[in-house]
Amino acid sequence: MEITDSAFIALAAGLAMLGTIGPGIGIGLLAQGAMQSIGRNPEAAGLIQTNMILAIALTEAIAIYALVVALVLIFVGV
Amino acid sequence: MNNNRTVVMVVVLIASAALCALSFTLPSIGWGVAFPVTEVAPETIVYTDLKFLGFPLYVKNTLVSFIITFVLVLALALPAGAVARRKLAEYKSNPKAVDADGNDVMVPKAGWYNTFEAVVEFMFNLTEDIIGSKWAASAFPLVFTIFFFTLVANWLHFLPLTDTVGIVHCSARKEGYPVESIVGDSFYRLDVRQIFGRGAAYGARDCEYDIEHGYIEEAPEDVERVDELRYVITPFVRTLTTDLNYTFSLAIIAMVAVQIYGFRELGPAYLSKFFNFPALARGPIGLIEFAVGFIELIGEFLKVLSFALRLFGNLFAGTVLLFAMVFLVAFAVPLPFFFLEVLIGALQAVVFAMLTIVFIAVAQVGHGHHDEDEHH
Repeated sequence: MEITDSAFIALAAGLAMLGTIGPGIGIGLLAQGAMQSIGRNPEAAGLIQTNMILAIALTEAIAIYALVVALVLIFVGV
Repeated sequence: MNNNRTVVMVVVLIASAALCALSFTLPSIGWGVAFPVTEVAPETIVYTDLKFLGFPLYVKNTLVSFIITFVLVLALALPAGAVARRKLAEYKSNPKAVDADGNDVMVPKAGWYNTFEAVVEFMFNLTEDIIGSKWAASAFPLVFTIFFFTLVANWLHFLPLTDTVGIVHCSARKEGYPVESIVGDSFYRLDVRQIFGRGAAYGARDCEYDIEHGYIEEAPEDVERVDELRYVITPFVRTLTTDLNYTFSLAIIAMVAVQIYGFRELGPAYLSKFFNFPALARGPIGLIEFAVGFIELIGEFLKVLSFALRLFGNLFAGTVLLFAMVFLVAFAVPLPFFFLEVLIGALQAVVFAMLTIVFIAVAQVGHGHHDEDEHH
């Protein structure tokens, strides 16, 4: 099978998405902490949720960078 | 009145269902559909000879969706604002004022105004929780505008015909589809040239018309035979938030506002966050503090980048996801993904607005606090 440039670009895009592993673990930890806090103190659920969503958004941003790199590789080219 | 409303809603629902069926499902059962050739940059739909500072002015498809979003936001917000002003005026002139049904004027009634008030109240409470009541009333209009405009723009995904119907033209690159698979159905042949009656049946299978009218600059070089030419659809409307120009503009507006609120709270002392010259007098430790100031300055610019890329990345990926799902299976299966996109659209709008508030709150915390603690 011939290995073309686009095959390498696809591979590179796939590899770029490895960057989502970290944020995935991070969001999991965040949610875990938030759930435990809500379990201990159900009255603070609203405040915890707000802060959790904010922290998740910041963590997710890093995954989004990886996604943008992958998308740029595929759609814009190098 | 209520009966009328039900009839209107049913008609709207049926009409949207029919349009959705036409734009998403019919082509997939053999009438010819093409997976849209996705581009990161917004596509041009009308080329003009106008120039601004030497840059050509083109009508991009995200500009069309910007105008739609703008009109929608005005149409949704202005009536609610008018009701709010009228209620407030009535309440001020007579705190015991009652409406036609004998209820207190400030008591909410079912309807659009009540929904809008609930959304405004949710966002206002969020703002007040984070930056306190001193600045909440001043920062709220900006924050809510960012939230509401982005929300409507994100949900433009679900406007029938968005991203799917457009001009069929010759592809400038090698990607694309044979013309039969795109224009198999007359519905997909909707084309500005046909709307304006300039003819040009799309039978002509070369790129000359497209080059002449500026849809592409030149025919792809490595195509030798006419039947190797590939065609793409440039949609008339493309979700606004999948345009980096929009997300970057919004991010810059938000971060400039953050600087302004920092200045208004702290005055010139705000600058010492970034250029901490007094710290230099304190020897080696001060030097580190001075360097940290520079890192914070770079951080302000990185915040613009992360703001813009977060919104763009989420929505662009969402668009690609919807394309892929609709292309794979026409019926039922894409529904959960549409639901997911509804959630993501709302979440990203809230997150953008919320981060703006949080950054304002962070900017308003003076660097001086640390210094005072150290001196005592």
